[in-house]
Amino acid sequence: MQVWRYIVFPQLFYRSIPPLTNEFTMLLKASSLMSIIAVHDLATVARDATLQTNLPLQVFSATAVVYFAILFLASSASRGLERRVAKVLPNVH
Amino acid sequence: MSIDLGIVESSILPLLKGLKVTAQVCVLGIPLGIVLGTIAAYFRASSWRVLRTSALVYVEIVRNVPFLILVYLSFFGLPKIGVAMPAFAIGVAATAFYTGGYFCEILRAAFGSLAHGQVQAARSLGLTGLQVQRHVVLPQIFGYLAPATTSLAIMMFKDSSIFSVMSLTELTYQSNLLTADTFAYVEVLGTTALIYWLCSVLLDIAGQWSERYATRYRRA
Repeated sequence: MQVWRYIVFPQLFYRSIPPLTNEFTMLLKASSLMSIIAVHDLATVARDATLQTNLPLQVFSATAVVYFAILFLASSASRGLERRVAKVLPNVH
Repeated sequence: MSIDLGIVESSILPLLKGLKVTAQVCVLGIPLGIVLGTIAAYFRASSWRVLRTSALVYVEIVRNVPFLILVYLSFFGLPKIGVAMPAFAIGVAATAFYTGGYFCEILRAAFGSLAHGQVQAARSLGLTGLQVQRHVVLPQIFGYLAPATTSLAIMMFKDSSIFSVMSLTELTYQSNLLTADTFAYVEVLGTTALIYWLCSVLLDIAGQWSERYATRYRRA
């Protein structure tokens, strides 16, 4: 138990940050596909807004910016977390 | 419930017609993307800040914006600024754009996997810059590139199903037409999934073969 708590887990945690972030990014991007089966997500709202306003360029650019902002923040946060973990636990890598 | 094999049989031909379009998009788009990604990778390693930043922005856009939104943006948005392209051309361009962003990152990781001293050692042996690339760098990174590029190609092949939203008559679009006609969702979508799976497996086998070929020097 102590081995797990002090040796294995910290390293496991540190090393899984980047791939987990990657997985999160992929999943959130894939979630836009829900709009095809009419789940009311961001992509659906964007498509409806395009139909109402007839301004596809503006609406879809804004949508892209929203997705970009969320995912860019998430990956920056993940890099920050990685650095912080490395600082707190100097032996993880 | 039972599966109507008659529907499966009659849907195979239209689905294969769709697969042809899917294949055309991928065969044109993915290699184009690899070229684009290579250029972007050289930009990212450039000493010019403008080139470095623009390549970084490109890669971050590809990584952080869903493919679907990109397709919507180019299909519905581009005509508004006077760039009207047929769905097929947009399909090829979107595939190339996306492949390029990911390939740039793959290439960067591949160069990173190479021990830094190797290029310097090769240079000090009197090889020219091009010779270093040709005889030292490329042979070694091909083994690294092959599996990563195979995954990327399979990912883009599967992502091409998104083009059905812009009425490109590819595999998923044909499948949607058939389900609208027959309401036989299990049969038609099952067959479609099987076709995608089979092609992905074939791509994977080709990738493994090319990896073995690219790393033959390690076993020599």
